[in-house]
Amino acid sequence: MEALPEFRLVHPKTAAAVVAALAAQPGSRLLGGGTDLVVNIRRGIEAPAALIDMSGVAELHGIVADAERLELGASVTLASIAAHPGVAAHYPVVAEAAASIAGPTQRNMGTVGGNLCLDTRCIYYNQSGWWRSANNHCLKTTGSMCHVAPKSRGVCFATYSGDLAPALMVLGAEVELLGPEGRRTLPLAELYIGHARQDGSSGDGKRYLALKPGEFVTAVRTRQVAGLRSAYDKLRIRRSIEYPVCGVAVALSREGERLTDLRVAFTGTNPRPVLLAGTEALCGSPFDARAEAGLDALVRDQVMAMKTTFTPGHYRRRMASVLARRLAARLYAG
Amino acid sequence: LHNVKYIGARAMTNTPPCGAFRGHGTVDIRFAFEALLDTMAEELGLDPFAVRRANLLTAPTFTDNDLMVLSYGLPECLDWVEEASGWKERKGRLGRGKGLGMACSHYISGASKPVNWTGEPHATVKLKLDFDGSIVLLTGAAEIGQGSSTILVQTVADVLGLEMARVRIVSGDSEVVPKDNGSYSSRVTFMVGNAAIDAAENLKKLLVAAAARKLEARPEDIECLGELYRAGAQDKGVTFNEAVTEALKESGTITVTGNFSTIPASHGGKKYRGSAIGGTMGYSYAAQVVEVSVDEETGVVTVDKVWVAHDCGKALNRLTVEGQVQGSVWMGMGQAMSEETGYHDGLMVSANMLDYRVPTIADSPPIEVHIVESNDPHGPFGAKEAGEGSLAGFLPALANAVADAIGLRLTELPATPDRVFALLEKRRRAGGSGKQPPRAAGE
Repeated sequence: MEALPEFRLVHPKTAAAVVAALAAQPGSRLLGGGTDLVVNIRRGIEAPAALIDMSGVAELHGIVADAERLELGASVTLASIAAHPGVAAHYPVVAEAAASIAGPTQRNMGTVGGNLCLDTRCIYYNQSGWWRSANNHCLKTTGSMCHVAPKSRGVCFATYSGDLAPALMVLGAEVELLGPEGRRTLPLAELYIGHARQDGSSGDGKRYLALKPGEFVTAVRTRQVAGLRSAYDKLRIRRSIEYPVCGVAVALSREGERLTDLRVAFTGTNPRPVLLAGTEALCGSPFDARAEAGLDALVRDQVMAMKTTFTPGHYRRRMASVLARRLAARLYAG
Repeated sequence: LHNVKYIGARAMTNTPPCGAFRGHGTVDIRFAFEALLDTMAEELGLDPFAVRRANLLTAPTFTDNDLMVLSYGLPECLDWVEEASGWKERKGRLGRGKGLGMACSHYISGASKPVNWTGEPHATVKLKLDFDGSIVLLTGAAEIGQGSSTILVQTVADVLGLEMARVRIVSGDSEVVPKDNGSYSSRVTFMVGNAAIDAAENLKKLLVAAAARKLEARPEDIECLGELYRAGAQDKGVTFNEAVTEALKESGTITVTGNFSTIPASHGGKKYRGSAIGGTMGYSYAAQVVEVSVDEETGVVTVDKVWVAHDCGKALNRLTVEGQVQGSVWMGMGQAMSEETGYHDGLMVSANMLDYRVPTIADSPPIEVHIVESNDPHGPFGAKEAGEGSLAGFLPALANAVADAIGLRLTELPATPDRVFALLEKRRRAGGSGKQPPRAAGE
C-alpha cells in the first residue's frame, strides 16, 4: 500500500451542493465510507483530484422501513441497516445482506451508495501499482488486454461483488439518481449495465453503472409486496471480511401448493448483479425437483463466473446454483 | 522400532521469499506422515490411536536416528484427547458429513547444535542488582507476544524466592542487553530460561555470602527465604535489603551473568546427515482431535471443535502455555483451511490480507487445551517448549477428520470449499455415492 496522494476534500451540506461540487471538480470522486475507494487509491488504481465527502449531507441519511415501504438514503451505513428492526421485520433479505458484508468495522463505515456502486473487482486489478505494471496492466485500467479472457476483444470481466444490490433487486427496488439534469428514477437492475456483450452493445466490468456524468445515487426504495418471503445467503472462504465467492438473494410467494412468484439475484459472479430472467416459467406448480432443475438451467445460462477471483469461476457458478436452490426450497417450505 | 528410511530432495523456487514460520520445517512433513499413519490404520483395520500407541517410545532413550529423548508425555496426551473427544463412542457414529480425525506432533526446545560456531554459550542473561534492592534482568530474548519476558522474570524471582515485582526486565535493547540468538525454534524458555536460572543462582550466592558475613555464619548454613536470609530456624536473620546493602558495600552495583549451553549428547549423531539443526535437549509432544462438518453440496468444511493435549515438561505459566497451544492450533488451522499463496506469471496474487486468508475469530472453533507435565530433567524447572508443537498436528488431524466425514482424503491444502468440492465431484462423476460408513441406527 502506498501513502495517499494529494487530493482536495470537499464537504458539501446538501445534495444540490454535491452536484455543484462534482461539476466544479473534474476528476473528483464521492467518498462514502471509503472502505473500497481509499484502498484503491492507496493501491494507485486511481488518484482523484478531489474527494467529495458525503457524510455531511443530511438528506442522504434517511432510513424508512415499515410495513409499507423501504427507503434507504445513500449515506445510511450498512451497520445501521443490519441493526434496524423494521428492515429485519419487513425486508429480511436486505437486513441479512447488510449483516453479511465484510466485517463489523467496514459495516460501520460503508454506506448504501458505496455498496450499490461498489467498484467491480478482479485479481488482475485489485493489486498494487508495481504488480499491475509488471503484468502490463489490464483493460480496466490502462492496459490493452484482459488477463481473465485474453480474447475478450476489449470486454472487461471484472466482477461485481456488492451484497445489497441482489437483495434489493429481488424486492423490485428503484434507485433515485441526481445529476446536472435533475432527478430521475431507475429500476435498480437497470443501474447495472455490465452485460459484457462481445458486440460492445452493453457495459462491462469497466463501465458497469448507468450513471451519467456528474450523476450519483441519492436513495434506493421499494414497497412491500404482500406475502413475499425473502432471504440472502452467501458463500465465502472465511466467515468475515471476505467479498462473496457468490451471493444469492431469493424472494418468492406461495399460494397453497403453488409457487406464484420467484425472484432470484446473484452477486460475485458477473460484471453486474444478475436478476435471473425467466423464473416465471417455474411458477404455477410446487417448488419441486422439476422446478429445481429449471432454476439450475437458468443459472447455467445467465450466471457467468470467470477467473476474476482466487476461487475458480466454475465453482462459483455451481455454488450460485446450490445456494439459490437451497434458499428457494427453504423459503418455499416456509 | 528399527524401520527408518528417509529420502529427501530439495527444490529451489524463486517465488515466495522464504523465512522461518511457526512450526518451521515440521508442518508439511507431519501432514504427510500422519496421513500415512491413518492410511496404515485403515489398511490394517486398526484404530488410528492404536497405530500411534504401537509406535510410542519409552523415555529415556535415544531414537534410531540418535535423538535424545529424556521426557515423553505423548501417551498421556493421546489418552486425554481420546477421552475428552469421546473418540471411542463417537468416531464413525457422527452421521454423514461429520467426522473426527486425530494426529500427533512434536517439536524441539531450541536446536542443540550451535548456530554460531564460536564456542559461545547458547544463551546469556545478566542480572543487575542495585542499592534499592531492585533487580534488572537484561536479555536479548525478544518478547514477541509469547510471554517470554514474563517467564524469565518468573524464573529469576522463583530462584531468589522473591515476588516478581522485585524484578524488572529489559528485553531486546541491544545497547544494554547481552546478545541473544533470537525467538525461534522454541528456544527461549528452555535456553534463556536456563541461563536466567544460572544468573539467579549466581546472584543468590553473592547474597548468601553477604548474609553469612552479616550473621557471622558459614555460607552453607544460610537459608534463603527470599525476603529473609537466616542461619537456621531460630535465627531472626537479615532482610533481603540488608543482605543487598552488605553485598554491594565494597563492589557497588553488581551485575552477574548466567549462561546455558547444550550437552553434546543431544546434538544427534553423525550417522544421519541432512538435519542441519540436529537434535534438541527436550522434545515437546502433542496430540489432537479435530471434529468437522463437511457440506457435501458446497465442499464447505467447518471445524466444530478441537481437543489438544501438549506435553510441555513443566508448565511454568499455565495461562501462557494454554494461550500458546491455542495459538499454535489456530495458526495450523489457517494453513489447513484458508491461507494460500497463488501466482500469476511469477507475481503473487494473494499478497494482501484480504486474499491471503488468515482466519478470523468468526472462524475459530472452541479449542480445549490440556497440559501434560512430563518434567524434563534438563528443562528450566522441567519445562520444554509450548509455542509451536501443537501446530503441525492440526493439518493432518483436519484431513483425517475430513476423510472420516466424507471418505475422501485431501492430499493438498488448504481445504477450501472449491478444493473439497472438486474431490466430491470427481467421485460423483466416477459414480460413487460416497462412503457408507457404519453409522448409528436411525441414520
